[in-house]
Amino acid sequence: MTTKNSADVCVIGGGICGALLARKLSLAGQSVLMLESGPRVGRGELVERYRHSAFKSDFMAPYPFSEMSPHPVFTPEANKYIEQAGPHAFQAQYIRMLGGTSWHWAAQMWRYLPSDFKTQSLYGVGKDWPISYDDLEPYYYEAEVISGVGGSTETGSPRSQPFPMEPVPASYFQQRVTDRLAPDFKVLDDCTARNSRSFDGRPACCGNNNCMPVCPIDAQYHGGIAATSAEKAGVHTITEAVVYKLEHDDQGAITAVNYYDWNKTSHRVTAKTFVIAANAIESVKLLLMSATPQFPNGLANRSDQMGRNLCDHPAIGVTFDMDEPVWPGRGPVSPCSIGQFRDGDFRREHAPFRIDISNASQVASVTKELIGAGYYGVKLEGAIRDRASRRVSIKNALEQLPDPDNRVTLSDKKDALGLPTPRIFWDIDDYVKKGTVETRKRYDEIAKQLGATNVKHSKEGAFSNRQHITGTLSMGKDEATSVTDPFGRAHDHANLYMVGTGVMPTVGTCNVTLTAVALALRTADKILSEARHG
Amino acid sequence: MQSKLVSRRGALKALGALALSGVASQLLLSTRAVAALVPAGQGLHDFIAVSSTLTGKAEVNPTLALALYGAFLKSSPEIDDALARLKTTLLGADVLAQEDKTAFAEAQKAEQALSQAILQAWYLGVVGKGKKSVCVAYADTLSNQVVADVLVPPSFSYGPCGSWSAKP
Repeated sequence: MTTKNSADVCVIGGGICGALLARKLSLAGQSVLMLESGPRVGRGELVERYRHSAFKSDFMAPYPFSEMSPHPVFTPEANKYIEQAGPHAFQAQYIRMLGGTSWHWAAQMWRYLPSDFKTQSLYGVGKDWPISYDDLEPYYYEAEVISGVGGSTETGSPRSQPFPMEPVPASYFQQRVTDRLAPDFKVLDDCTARNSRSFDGRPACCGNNNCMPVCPIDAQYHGGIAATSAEKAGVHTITEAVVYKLEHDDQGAITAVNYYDWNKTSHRVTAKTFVIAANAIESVKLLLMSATPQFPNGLANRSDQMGRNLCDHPAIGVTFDMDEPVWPGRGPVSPCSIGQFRDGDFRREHAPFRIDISNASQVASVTKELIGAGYYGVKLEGAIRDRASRRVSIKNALEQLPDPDNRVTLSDKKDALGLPTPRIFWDIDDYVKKGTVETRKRYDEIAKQLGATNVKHSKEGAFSNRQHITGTLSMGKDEATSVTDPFGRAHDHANLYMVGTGVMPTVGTCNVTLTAVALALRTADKILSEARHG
Repeated sequence: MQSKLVSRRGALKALGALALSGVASQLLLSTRAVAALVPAGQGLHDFIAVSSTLTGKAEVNPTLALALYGAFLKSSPEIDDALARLKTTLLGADVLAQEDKTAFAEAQKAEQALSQAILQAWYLGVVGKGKKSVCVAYADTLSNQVVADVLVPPSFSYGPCGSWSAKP
């Protein structure tokens, strides 16, 4: 049975991966205690905070910040929670709150391509995963059924069963861009956990055009829904529980975790099995903080791989004004993309990429732009309508290769509970830079084909983060070059598992959540199998 | 020049509406901060006048005007003097000589910045910068209203699933 201090399984982190793993274990009869460092906040409050925010373009702004469980903040001023030690700032946006960072996403639930699992074998770059696409396929489907995913069947990821959800119908904007770019560029529906009909007690999308930072009606799946479903399945959740140390016995088995509540009273939790699901950066922090004389470099780190190989999709963007009014802003914000540059022999030479076409309303950004340019009066209003109706915004999801020098460590700074904050070194290699040049070429071709004026590329040499944070807890067969085994179990600790995007060895060219959830569900099966058979 | 006369007339009309509006009266009574504006009549008058000129609207929403002016006053206690200067500047021949863009002189940087801050307030609902930024309005901002026949402000429902497929 679960008590507030003991369970069969203790899950650290109440995001989408931890919650869905916890739910699966609980439904199978395990007692599960889930510890979440952040608070419990409801959707209604988040929507209210969004509507009252002076910083609506900052997706972190609606999410409450606490010094007890800090996360990066960017407005009105950056809190510099992460110490940047490299040539490029890794501007991570993650939310420490029950439900985690998938509160602010566009519900993108993409399968990797089969080739993404073996880029070293196929193209001589990156890493091969210790598992194949086929190993993960049933779990992809399991996750899609839970969350209600629909999308294009032409993404290059084979399916054993149809999507459980029909895609949300394309907006007029998407239809026009698709028609105008064909046949040179094939625009496909994104794969999203967004309801096109009532599903699982949640309504169909009503086009609130606010998927990021928060869907006001829960038409899209997110970690908050996952956490609620875990609790309904019997998982006992404690929020505002900041785990700061793991304990182990002489054999290296984990015996307990210690957490501070927000009054800094320490609590100790025991379990048979422990699962760290605390984000690809915060999980590393916790394991490094838990160093002991037996494990002086931190737990699960005898290989010195913990926190290394940090990857994201280093993104560049372009905006321009199309030559006809198409009115982005009607329907979901991220509905479609171009996938034809995601795979091919060129991956030997440069990074592959997906091109993502935004359908977010452009009204606020063009208004700001026009006021800054001195527009006023009736002409200002006309210009807002004109630009908002024609403005197209595009960015890419480009694969960065794992590099052990790109890593998360502990900084010398301490938070309000006296716990160290993360330090990140992040650099961009030539593989990314060459892929970026290719991306920019395609952007120009797309702009030309859409009759664009006012073309503005993002700043040369600058890359933004897509928040697809992978690699830091990489799974692998070789204990010397990875942190976890093919099931997410720590090489160094038999009863310690890790789930979340950090266990993914490579970042591919699509959003990473579905793969992380599929892996977490597979890890849950492994834990259940071990519980049954010892 | 005709448009400026209309603007001034509009401002006076708006002030009249403000004085008579039951909603505005309740607002005046409801918060001390807004009640404190009552003696500051000239500042509010100037704010409405320049708002009318800059937005090109003969009448501006008096309740929103009151709320925006209150936010300006809170973030900048000397706002009344600045508004008076901006009003005078806008009456000059050069600044609004072009129909689409303002043309402030090099020496009028402060007036230019205030004019853009006022437009930002009306069109985006935000007053102030950085830590002092305050969201005063959202759904009722002019940028949302100007596209209201086609778009809803983000976070508000557009319509049944797929209704966005039709040409707007």
